[in-house]
Amino acid sequence: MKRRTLLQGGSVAFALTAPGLVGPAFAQPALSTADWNKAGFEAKTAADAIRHLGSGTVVASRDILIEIQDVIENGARTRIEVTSRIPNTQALSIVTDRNPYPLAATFHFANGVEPYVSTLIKVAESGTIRVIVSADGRLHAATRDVKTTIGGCG
Amino acid sequence: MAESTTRITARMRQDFVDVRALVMHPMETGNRRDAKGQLVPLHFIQRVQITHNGRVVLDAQWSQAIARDPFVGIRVRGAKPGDKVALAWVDNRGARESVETVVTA
Repeated sequence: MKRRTLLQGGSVAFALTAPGLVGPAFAQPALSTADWNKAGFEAKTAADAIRHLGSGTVVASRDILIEIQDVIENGARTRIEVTSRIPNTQALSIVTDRNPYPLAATFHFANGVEPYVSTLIKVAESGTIRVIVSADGRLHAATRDVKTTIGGCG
Repeated sequence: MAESTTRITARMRQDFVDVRALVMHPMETGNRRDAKGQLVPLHFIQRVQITHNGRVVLDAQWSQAIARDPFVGIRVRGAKPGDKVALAWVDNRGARESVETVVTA
């Protein structure tokens, strides 16, 4: 916790790194939270969250692959891997319908990165996981229904 | 001096570089109660950026629904051993950190 206090709003220039894993900390323009999608992240329904991801009709797509357990063992830490095969994918968002705030994350891709991401999310209860892909200004969606045994938003 | 709370690795695969990062962070939802029954305030990473040789390859926005001690993995094409890969994050309290690594074969 002391570490966390040291980091509050301060410089990271003194951060030491794990031997063998990471190089020295470096200077980089500070990331801002000013453009964080507050309206989307504070939406309480999936439909409302998706409205804040882009405009126009959301088209169902078979070119978005979602890898997640059908029966989730640990809702607090659920691995999800998403791949988009839609040309010119710019961003993908993970939306968990039954979470209190459905929009979990948005990942923007650029400069040679594959439209692929692997991460760990919280899934509160059984329901639908949606992935919304933004490509050429259009929204595409794929869904997966999952069941939970222990929820993850306690 | 404290150790970094962020770990990152970048390994060359057949035709992409596999970048994986793990951050030690509580990612509190604001709904959890502590041992005394008090609500633990919302505390989560909001922005994450990964760069390859200084160019942004991933720019992410997160909510409190990303699991505690977040993990993120991406695949970067056109990268080679020796290239620099870095990650920076900032949370809703303004805490921030950045780390850099080198692509290994």
